[in-house]
Amino acid sequence: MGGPEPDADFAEPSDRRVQKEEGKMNASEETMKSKQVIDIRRWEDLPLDCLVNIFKRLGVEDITTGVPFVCKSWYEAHLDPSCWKIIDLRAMYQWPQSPFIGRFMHAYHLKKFKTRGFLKIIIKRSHKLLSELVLPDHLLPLSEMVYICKECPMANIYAPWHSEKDRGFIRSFVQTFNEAVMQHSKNIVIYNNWYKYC
Amino acid sequence: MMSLAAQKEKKIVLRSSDGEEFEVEVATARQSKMISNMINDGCVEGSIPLFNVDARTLAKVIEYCRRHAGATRILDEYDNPNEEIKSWDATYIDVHQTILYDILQAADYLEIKDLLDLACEQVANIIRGKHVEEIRNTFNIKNDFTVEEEKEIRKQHPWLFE
Repeated sequence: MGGPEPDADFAEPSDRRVQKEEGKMNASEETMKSKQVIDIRRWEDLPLDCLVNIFKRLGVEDITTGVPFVCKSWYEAHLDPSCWKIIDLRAMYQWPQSPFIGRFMHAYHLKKFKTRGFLKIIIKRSHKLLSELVLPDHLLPLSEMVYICKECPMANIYAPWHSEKDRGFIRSFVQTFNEAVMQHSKNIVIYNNWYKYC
Repeated sequence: MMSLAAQKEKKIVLRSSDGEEFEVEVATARQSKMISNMINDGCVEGSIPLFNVDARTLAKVIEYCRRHAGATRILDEYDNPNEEIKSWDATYIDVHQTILYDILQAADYLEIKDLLDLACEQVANIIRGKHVEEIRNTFNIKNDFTVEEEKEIRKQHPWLFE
């Protein structure tokens, strides 16, 4: 984000903020317009439900490398499984060499990145309630996809499918999957027209 | 249960935390689940005091409820009013974030689900793509992690990547 911060002028110590909180109820239209009152709105004190409602709309990049490090209440809210039910990895352009991976490794002080480790975090955070996983512009290794299906039986996986390149994919997926999973039901939707899906 | 026509006639008075009164149609008031439940329970006598919503916010919330109460009727008459409502919503919620905060809190308190979702989506749009420091500056949030705590949450995953 470039340019000056419009709200930077309003920053002031938090103890003064608290005093104004008490006066909020009687704030008149005039004081509403003054910059003093702006500071009584504490985004870190929003009800947990509201924070979760906001965070569940964010992409995997924001929910892993942005939100959790802002403050304690946001960290707590981001742990709610609802924030991890729908995971769209398409923003991770050119996975696994995407710029996101670098940001992720930096955020968590990692020396190495492994797809399985990343999937494990998503699965753990979703409490295995992951319901929708949209894969980036190529398929993950078969073993990883089977792993997700095994761990999150409720997940629908949306994957791009290039009929030429991925010839025989479905057969080998079903084969591998059958070997790995005995009873869980599973849905996989393969779409062969990327733009149509978007 | 009174008929829809009778509901349209009847008005309800809402009183903001700072004492201002707003007369609204029942259909508008019913956009709030909290108020709708009060009406159903027959406990609406005189004006309804809303201790957590000031006049400026209440006026803004009523504007939304009135539009959406009307939209239900429009739905019956036209083929595709969704786009129109969506664009109205987008303009409506494009406000300074202090007002956005108040709308969000009021929608939560009054249980107006669609408005709450709209406000949450707008906040998500503001957060999207920002770095931690940018988010803190934008929302004026103080970092309340100690150095040790931050280190702990940043170092919780390395074993997954060994």
